[in-house]
Amino acid sequence: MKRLTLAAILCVLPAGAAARTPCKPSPPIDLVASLSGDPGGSFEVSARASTVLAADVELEVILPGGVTASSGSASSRARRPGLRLGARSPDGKRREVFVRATVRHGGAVMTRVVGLVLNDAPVPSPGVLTRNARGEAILEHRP
Amino acid sequence: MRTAAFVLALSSAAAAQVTGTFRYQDRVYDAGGFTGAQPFRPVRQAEVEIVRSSDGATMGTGTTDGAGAFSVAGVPGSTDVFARVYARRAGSGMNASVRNNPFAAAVYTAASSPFVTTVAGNGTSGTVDLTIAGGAAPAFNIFDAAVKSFQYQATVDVDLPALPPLLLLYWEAGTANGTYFDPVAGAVFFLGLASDPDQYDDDILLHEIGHWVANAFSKDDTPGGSHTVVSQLDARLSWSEGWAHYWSAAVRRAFPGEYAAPAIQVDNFGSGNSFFDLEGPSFPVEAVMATNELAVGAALWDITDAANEGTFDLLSGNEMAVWQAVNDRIPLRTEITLEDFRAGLELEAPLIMADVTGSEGTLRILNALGVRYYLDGNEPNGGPGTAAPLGPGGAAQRTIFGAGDEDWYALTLTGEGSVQAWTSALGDGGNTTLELFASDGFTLLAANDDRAPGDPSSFVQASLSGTGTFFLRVRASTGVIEHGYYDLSAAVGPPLSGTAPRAGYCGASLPAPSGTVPAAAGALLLGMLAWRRRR
Repeated sequence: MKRLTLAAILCVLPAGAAARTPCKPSPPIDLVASLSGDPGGSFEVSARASTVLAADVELEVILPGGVTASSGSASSRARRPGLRLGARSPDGKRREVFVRATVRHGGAVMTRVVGLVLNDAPVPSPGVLTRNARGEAILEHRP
Repeated sequence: MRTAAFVLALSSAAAAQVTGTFRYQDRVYDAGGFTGAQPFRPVRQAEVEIVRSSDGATMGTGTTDGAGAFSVAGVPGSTDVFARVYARRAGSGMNASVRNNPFAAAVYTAASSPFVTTVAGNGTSGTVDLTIAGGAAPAFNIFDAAVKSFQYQATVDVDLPALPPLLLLYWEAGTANGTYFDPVAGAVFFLGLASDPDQYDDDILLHEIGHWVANAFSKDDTPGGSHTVVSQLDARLSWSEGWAHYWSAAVRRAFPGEYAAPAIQVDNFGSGNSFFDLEGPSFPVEAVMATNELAVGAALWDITDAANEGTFDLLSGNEMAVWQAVNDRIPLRTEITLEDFRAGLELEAPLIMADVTGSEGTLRILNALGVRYYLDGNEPNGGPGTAAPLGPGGAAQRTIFGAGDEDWYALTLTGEGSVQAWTSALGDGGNTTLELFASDGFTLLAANDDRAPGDPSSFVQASLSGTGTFFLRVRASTGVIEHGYYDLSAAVGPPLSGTAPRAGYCGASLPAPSGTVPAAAGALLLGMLAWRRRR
């Protein structure tokens, strides 16, 4: 089972950096999302969220193009919402499911998004890694 | 010599030129997220070189102007070349380089289609549009954020050198390596995830660049770590983040053609977005005190934006004074918090301070945000001779302000019994030490720094005998925070037997061990404590 939280992405993953590294503000939302099953066929997305704010959390699963929901609910709204959504992917291509938790409170909107990758594969870079006349590394792009 | 210079000037004016324009595709957003508009903006202030197609040799160099245009002289005629633009600039008050990661450390570049110069060496690449789909546009948007930061800094920093310290910015598509500033590397890193792409979030780009600015031109003692805009934080962290919020907004305010609402801070995601407002600010209940980053950012914003918020926001401008406090004054101090900014601003702009801090009876920018950097109404009460009377309701929101401030309070006992006293509701990161003195104002009966590990409030109790005036002294504990504020409460009861707190006290609610005040306490009225107003 694959588990991700955005907190890990935002502040824990820069582990190679110094301890005193300031990172961008995290939304005051706890979001845990996971994927189980066959990412090239039938799979299930599970998620739950909560916030310290006195407000409901809107929890939603956004499926990428080509992926269809087959059971369960793609959204839930509560103080501590949870959901399970069955879905089907047509093939083994790389796609990304977004799980989004949103809180509207205090004149602001706070959102946290976790991306769950189906059939992970490297994202190709459109640039070409090369060197200029001075020998400096450059990542060159041509329009 | 004079003739030679004249001939050179004529020659230069008549020299053949290779010209062109580079633009990059931007993504427009507002508080509702990306609008769908994707205009082309000029690649400004970027390094350009004309490269011979056959062997990659450099035929000439230049920079783009504010419109993204370049003009390079001295390129040989009848040569197949292309123009290369770098997401980099060193000089003219800027020094920034956008690279893919620290390992490859490759600078982002984009190349035009090849073209052949005329016999005289003229030629043009035409307008080269770097698209989102082509992959270069995000890096050049990050570069433009750095350019904006340096250009804004030049308007407030008269000492900005022609070649400032290098601002390294790392980003690549798909990277999950966080969005953060690394002070050791002197570099800013940005997320490139499909779920959280920060490369077009100018608000976030400039926030992290703001951390770099603090590190390179001021002083930043943040302990770092995760934080939210609604949290009460270590005051060093809230200062660091509040400054970064302010810097992001101030830079964007300087480019009104691109940013209609710079006080709004947006973070776009693969689906949806977050936003909050420095003006107001958002989360008015949570965004209070010097230990909240949004309150700190809102304070800096209000000092410099239009006087647009009723009776408490009377200031506008002051951007240079804010910069000088940060750039010139803060580096001389330690454990940097909003307190240090206030002290620096007072030296730079003493005449505005009353409208910055407010006072106990006057609401201004800081105390409208729950930041209390002023003498409270009991001052002067710096010794037993000037001790303020402590009434049955205790004392609320008393400030520790000014170097070595001590707050003395008097209470009068009319018989045998005991006293418990405590501080609570500490604000602005305050950390009290509380002492109980005998009637001579000298003999220490009880003292406490922290009520419990992790609880910086204080609690004392002692048996007292006989009629007389006793004294309580509140001071700041040593640590990061010099000021702060507190509530002071006291309760009287029967003589103590042992050291454990007892039920049956009156005068105020007894303190809970955590430092929060319980809803009810013992109600045994002994009538042995008389509160006496002291002049």
